[in-house]
Amino acid sequence: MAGNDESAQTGREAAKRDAQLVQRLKGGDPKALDELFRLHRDAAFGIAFRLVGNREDALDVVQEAFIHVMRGIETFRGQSSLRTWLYRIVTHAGLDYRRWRAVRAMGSLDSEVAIEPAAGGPRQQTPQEDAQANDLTRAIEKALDNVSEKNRAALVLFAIEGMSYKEIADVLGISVGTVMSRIFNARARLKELLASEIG
Amino acid sequence: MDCDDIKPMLAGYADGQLSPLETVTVEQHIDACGRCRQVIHDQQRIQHVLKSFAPPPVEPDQWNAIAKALRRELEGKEEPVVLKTRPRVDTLDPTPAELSSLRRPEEAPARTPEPAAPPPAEVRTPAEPRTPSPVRIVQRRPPSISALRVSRAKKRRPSAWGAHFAGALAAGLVIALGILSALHQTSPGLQAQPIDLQALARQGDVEVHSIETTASNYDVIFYGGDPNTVAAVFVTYDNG
Repeated sequence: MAGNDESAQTGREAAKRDAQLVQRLKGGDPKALDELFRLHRDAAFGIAFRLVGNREDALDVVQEAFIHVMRGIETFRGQSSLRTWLYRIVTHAGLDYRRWRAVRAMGSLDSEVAIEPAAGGPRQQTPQEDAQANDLTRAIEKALDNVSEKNRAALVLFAIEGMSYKEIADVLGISVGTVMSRIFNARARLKELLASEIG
Repeated sequence: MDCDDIKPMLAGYADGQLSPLETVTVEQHIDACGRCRQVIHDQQRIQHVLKSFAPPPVEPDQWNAIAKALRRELEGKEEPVVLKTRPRVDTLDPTPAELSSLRRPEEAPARTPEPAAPPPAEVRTPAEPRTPSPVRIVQRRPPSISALRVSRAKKRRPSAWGAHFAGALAAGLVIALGILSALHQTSPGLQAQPIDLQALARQGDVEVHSIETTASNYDVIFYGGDPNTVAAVFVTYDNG
């Protein structure tokens, strides 16, 4: 019970902080923007990176997502938490970015399957990154790129950001049951794709 | 419960996201089902593997460059940045209109090249120390596809109500006509008085052979009497 109380207290404090932050952002306070960016940039980058597959594009997504936040802050009415709202924008920006990149690379979206990293896809890794990334990481990156974007988004939010199914449902605007099903399917697909790496 | 019933809950069980009742249900099943137990094990294994998939570090300079770009956007000192992504927050599924809007800007320059047009601006700031990327085709997209969609949904409502109203009006007219018709038929002023012509004939000690209506001077004519000596009887029918 004590744990629950502490959690509720923390949640109330976060909600209060978010409400103040939103008010300051609506007032055009640059420090509020800095604070919001500092608080959420790592998580936003984590989501974006798993969705678009490379650092440069992920940074673009983060920048665009925060611009969306600034431009749309007037429409934020606090029906969800600021974190949920922000992650939703980042997720959609990441998926949009993938489509934009695929359109640019292929000139068509007729193929509905997972988008392969083509000419306009993830750029070449630098030698330093090559040294850092091991085979498994590259295999996971490649496998994730072959999971359908809906399933991938749900999995990324859960597996990497540690969001609950309920939070993911809020972020993606779907039911908890659908979240469960998408995560299940994403992991089942990854198991197929990574069979040779993880046995 | 069989495997098909349990399958939707396996991911939730592997992640500890089920309610206590659902958890017990799954546990009862997997006690006897090695296949589902294996599926849960696989799901947890993949989850464990994914945790090792950490994003690469981001240099402080890169964060600072983005923060500066955001501040400039907030202060409005520069032209608003043209974005590659849209502020959609309502759905993940692109509508056909959105897909075509994604496709069109890429196809347009190929069909109608405009050499005089200035090259699109790069989203990133010049101060960013990132690796320079090739020239990007920056698209101007509708600022709020979702707003357009809501607007369309709002417009459908009045037309639906109009159809309901028209239907109700037509039904009302049909009912009203039916009532008027029934009233017309059963109006006491118009109703014919029943006449027992057989009884009337008996009074004259004749047998009625046939009865027919007439037109001008008489309302009813009936023929009676012996078949060989038929007489016609004319009866004036007073319906007043």
